[in-house]
Amino acid sequence: MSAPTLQKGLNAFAEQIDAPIASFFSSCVHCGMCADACLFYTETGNPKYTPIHKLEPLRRFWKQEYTLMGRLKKALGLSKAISDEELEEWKELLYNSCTLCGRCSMVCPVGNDLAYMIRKTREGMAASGHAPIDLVGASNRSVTIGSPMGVRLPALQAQSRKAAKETGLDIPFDQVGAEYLILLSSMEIMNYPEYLQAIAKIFKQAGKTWTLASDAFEATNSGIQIGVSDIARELVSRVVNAAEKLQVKTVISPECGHAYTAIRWDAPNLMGRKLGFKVRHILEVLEDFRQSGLLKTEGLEESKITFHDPCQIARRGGVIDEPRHLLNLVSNNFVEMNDHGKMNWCCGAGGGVSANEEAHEIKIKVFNRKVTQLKELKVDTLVTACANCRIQLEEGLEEYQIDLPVVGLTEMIAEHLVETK
Amino acid sequence: MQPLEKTGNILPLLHEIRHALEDLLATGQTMVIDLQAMPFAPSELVELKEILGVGEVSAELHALGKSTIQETAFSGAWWIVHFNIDEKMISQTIEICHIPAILMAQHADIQMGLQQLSSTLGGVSL
Amino acid sequence: MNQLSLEERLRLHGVSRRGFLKFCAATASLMALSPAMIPRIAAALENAKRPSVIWLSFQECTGCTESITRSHSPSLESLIFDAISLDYHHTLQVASGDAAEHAREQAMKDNWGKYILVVDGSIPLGNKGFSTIAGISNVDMLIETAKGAAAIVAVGSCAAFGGLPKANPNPTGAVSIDMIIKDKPIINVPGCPPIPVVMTGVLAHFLTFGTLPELDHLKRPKAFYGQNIHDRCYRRPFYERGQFAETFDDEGAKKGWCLFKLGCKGPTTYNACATTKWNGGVSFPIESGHGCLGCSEPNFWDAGSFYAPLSTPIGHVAQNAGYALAAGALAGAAIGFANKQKSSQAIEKHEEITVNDLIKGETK
Repeated sequence: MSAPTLQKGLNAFAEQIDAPIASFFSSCVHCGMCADACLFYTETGNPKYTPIHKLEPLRRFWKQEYTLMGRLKKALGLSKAISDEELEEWKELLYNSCTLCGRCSMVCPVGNDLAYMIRKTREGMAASGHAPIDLVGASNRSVTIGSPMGVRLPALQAQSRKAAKETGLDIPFDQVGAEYLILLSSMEIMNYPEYLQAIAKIFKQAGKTWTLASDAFEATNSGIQIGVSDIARELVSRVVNAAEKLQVKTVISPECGHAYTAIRWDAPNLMGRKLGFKVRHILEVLEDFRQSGLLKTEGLEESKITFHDPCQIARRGGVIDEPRHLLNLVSNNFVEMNDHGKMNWCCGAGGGVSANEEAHEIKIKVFNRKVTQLKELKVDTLVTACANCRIQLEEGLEEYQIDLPVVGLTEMIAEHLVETK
Repeated sequence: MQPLEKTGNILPLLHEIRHALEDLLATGQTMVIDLQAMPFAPSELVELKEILGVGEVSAELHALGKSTIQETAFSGAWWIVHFNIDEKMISQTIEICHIPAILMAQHADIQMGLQQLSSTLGGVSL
Repeated sequence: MNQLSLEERLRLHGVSRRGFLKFCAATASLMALSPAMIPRIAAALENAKRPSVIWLSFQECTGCTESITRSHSPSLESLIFDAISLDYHHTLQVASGDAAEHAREQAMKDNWGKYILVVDGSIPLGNKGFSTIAGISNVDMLIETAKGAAAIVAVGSCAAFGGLPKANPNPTGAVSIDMIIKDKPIINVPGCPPIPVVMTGVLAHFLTFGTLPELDHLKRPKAFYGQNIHDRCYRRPFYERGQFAETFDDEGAKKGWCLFKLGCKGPTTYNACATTKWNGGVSFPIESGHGCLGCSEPNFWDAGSFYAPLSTPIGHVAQNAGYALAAGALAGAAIGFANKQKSSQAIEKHEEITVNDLIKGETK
């Protein structure tokens, strides 16, 4: 073990520069369209939040090390070398004011995936010791305790007993051969126990077997957020190993954005192999149930509701139609926000921002974007499918003094299940 | 943007019109000047129009889009603009003649009109 | 329907003889013909039958098709294109797959020796596989389709001169149409893209006279490419007076002075932009404040900087630039290799990062 150094950071940059990164940087036409796609820019008007500008350290590194002109300039002292001071200055831009929501990637006219690049730049930031202290703490707890919020197995067991009592249903642990492995986010264990109860009821009605894994119940992955692939791999391998040990067919990512990204997209790359099971988001599974007639509901929500698309699930995950079908199952007064679906605006707290106290002020400021969207609609209930979005939505609405209940979609569905006893 | 200075093409054009009018009087020779075939600064066509002014006759044609036929203040010089059905200008000319040919009724059209009139009358007993 | 003359078809659509004459007047203006030719145009179009047109697109960006479908002549769709039978055009046709290729073969068979072949895009000779349609390489399709053509119209700088694909270092070995087809009349309609009405004008000329228009030494129709931009430019008087814009935002630029010193290629570029203009006669590049790039001239891409005045010697520069480019390509390949090495070395140097390695000054 050793201290982080600038040299390690630069080495991490060099590791991260792959063909896509090189072609993205060389094809950037400096049009600035990514600025207007980023809520940190639109809500502050400060050009330093332009997404491509956040990538300046990596861009300069690429220029200096990988291009002829850049090398010449560096050799002649015309281009200044990357320093610790500069990286420290960029910390705010790369962590506090980027949620990896990927909206900028959607608008780039030359197809640059800016979110992918920011995720990669964070590798160098973390390796050189410029990651926010709160994310370091969260990563530490994830690796040593098993959860970024410090949730241990006994806490989950307590919640499970409570859920069993509430629902009268069994909460299975470590069932070898169950069809589905359910993962949870710490937030769901501590703040939204309704989720686990909803799962128990829905799977009971569908007649499907499921299980929790006592050594891998946590779905979130601090390694992805802080930008350390080694840690991300360590965390994700716990889930992969548990799922393969329990021989489940499908692992279900909970209502959590980056957890879905971690298990669905990053896991096979981090592990360097194909996984022995399928990964689905809970909304995809519910939609499967609905289509196979396994999801029977009754009654309709009377209030006017809208849906906040979590970035990682909708934009980067493609789960867009599923929540609409499910919402229309239990509501006849569902309305869409402007820019819904793949172009939805981020809640402002993804990508590690919510865990980062340094970002508190700005994340509340940029929540104004969501407030504007909601004011256009005047709804009675706001539904979402990510516990992290939900926390930010609740906190933001509170700060802006708006009285609007926020509900998770899975639990809303569970409330409408036809009683089958 | 400040008004652009000029190409200086207006004056020679006016002289050309003068010569053409002289020829029309002397020999009956007609002439067409295609305004799209020569360069003008953006303000110059407006200026030319002002100098030529508006004469006694003004006609509008509706065939494959609108056309405007305007006699200028100098009788015998006509300003003719054709538009297509999308209302885009397709030609702009100055014609020197007694009456622009495009205004004349055409044999084929007269014939067709006559047929229609006859069949209308045939169906009505007087 | 194919046997009706243009006037008969127009009459079917309720267009009067007077409307037809108006169309002829506009066509004369379009073809830059003397208005005295209007009666002759009318007489010819009265009897014109629809020629079959086959349109092939090779190494191109579809900009030419875009340009031409925005043509504003007396409504292109209803008239000029109505007056031809466009039997095959990859981008515009509804048919696909076998049906599309069948349409081409059928049109060739039915109109052997009579159809007009329109081509946009250059032909790669470096490797036939660089560009294929329905599994047929561009060069094979061109040779096959050209055999029965009455004439070939090469639309856009790529088809006429090789264009952008042929620019140094010409990675695909791109060539123009006339480098391959030697035994057919070829009309070049260059421009990147060409002015749409020029294209329609060429078709109208063929319809009217059944012959090809008069061409210059680069096979371009003289009616449109007979004079250079500079001679017809409304900014020409400033050139005569020595009034030049020196930068894009100085007083001269604001006053609309000549853009020669900012690299305008108008004096050596033969095209109709200055009078015909673009977007339905709204404006053209120089009127919008930017010099002409010379896009209708051969090898315009390699003719030195767009912003260097024409008085700068370009011949040697272009050649030297070629050498420099070749050297650059080698250096580029070397850098590419070095870059690959760099990333793999970095991966070798990777020390696993644990949660204890994230805070500065904390070494355990």
